[in-house]
Amino acid sequence: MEENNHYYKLISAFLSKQASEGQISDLREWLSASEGNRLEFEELKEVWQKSRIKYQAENIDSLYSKVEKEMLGAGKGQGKTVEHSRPKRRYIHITKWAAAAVIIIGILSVFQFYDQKANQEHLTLEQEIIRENPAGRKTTVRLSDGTIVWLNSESKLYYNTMFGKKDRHVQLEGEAFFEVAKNEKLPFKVFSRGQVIEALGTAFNVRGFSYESQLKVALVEGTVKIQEEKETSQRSIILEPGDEFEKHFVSGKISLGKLNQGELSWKDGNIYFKSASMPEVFRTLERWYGVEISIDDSIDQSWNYTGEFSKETLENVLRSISYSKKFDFEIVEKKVIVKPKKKKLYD
Amino acid sequence: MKRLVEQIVQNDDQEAFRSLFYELAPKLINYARYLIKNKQVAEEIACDVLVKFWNNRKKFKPGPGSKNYFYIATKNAASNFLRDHGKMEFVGLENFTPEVEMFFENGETKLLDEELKQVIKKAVYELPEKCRMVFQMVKEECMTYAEVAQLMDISTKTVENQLAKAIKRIRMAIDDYRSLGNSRMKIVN
Repeated sequence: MEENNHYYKLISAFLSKQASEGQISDLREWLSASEGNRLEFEELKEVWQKSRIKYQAENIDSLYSKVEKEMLGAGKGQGKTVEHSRPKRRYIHITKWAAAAVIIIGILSVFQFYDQKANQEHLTLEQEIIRENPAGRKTTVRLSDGTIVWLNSESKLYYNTMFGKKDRHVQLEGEAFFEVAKNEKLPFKVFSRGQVIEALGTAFNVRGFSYESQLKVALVEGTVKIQEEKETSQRSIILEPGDEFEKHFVSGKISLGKLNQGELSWKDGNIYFKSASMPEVFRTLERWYGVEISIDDSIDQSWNYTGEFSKETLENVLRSISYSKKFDFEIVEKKVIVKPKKKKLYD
Repeated sequence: MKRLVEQIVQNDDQEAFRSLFYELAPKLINYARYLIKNKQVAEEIACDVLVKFWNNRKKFKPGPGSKNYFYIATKNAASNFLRDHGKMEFVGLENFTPEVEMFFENGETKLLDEELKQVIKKAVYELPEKCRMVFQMVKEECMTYAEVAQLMDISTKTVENQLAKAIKRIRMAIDDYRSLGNSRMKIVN
């Protein structure tokens, strides 16, 4: 038992980067003594590195309002200029919004956003601000007008320093969900691969990954107007709640269907597939987990997959798909290899 | 966090202060609660430390010495409070329930499955108070044993022992779970 504690001290000193050289060599010796020791250590290392302790205070908002008042009070007392312009702007009250809309957009690679510089509607990027997520990361951005944007992985949001002053234009590559703060004077517009989505006090999702083959707009509540970005086109489509607009760029056709809630669940950490093709499935997983997936040519590529995963590990997701679609896989660090199923000896 | 502090000190950035507050206040409250077993007082102390930092931001010099500034300031405020009001008043008055949660980033781990993660979270949650405080400070705040010892009024030997204890408890929780078999393990959220 005593000896046991000694090793826990070594391990914890090592993990907290406070081990002496002597301790490190002791630890190394212990690790090489058995495979079991090694596994024990690897697991603890993983707990240490991959976990975070999250501190909570359920009344943090009310604490902050008190502090904010104190700060402003102190500013006055000392004759300092403390910004008074926005003393009570707390998180946006969602209930106050006139309408909420959800749009999903997925656009084909052929369409280029950048061709149409002549258009007045275009962003004038005086001082461009870019928010960017690599694969495997999702973030929330709060814009100056109070709009909240959930930005998916492998996605970029562009806007400029004039945002909220003279217009409310943003440009999107990839996918984002917008909860738009109400402002009737300045319509909120999202530019994504040749389309403009205009919304007034709405919440909507825009999907425009360059590797996908269509543009999807799904509306939950409120009203949203979709238009071609080209000035020649005056045609616009207005969606009603529950509608899903889809533009196929190969055929150029537009269709209207019913919105599928599952497609919005990414922002709550869920992965959703609805008869997704094999490349679509693996591409989504690459983006979601920030891994690289290579697929053996000999595996069946013709399947479609439908299913939903809530905050699962990559391994569990792959395992569950591999059962029904009959493949094997191997995860090594940030790489995944998908290969044909081995024949079991005992089958 | 370093960046936020710089923004506040250099640009009087109120938005940065807000972010700093949301990040730091819960941690400081947790620490103050460890020192003074009273939630309201702990909250007041933590808020006070942050307001004072804002008010004196012009005099603040970000640097290596300021690394644990907020914790040290919290400790001083708590000591002052105890000096003025006495410790006895609060002992046993409040059943201290930690408001901390363990979570795994991105859900991706090589060796641990979902159920095992729950087991680990539970083990951390059930660590004795002192033990968990040490674990948090060393792991999340990257403090040295000596820094933790000073903030918690214990010896570095104790820090070392408590940390080893935390690791051992997690290890034992994993082993228990394995030997019991997955299906028999009930997880309480």
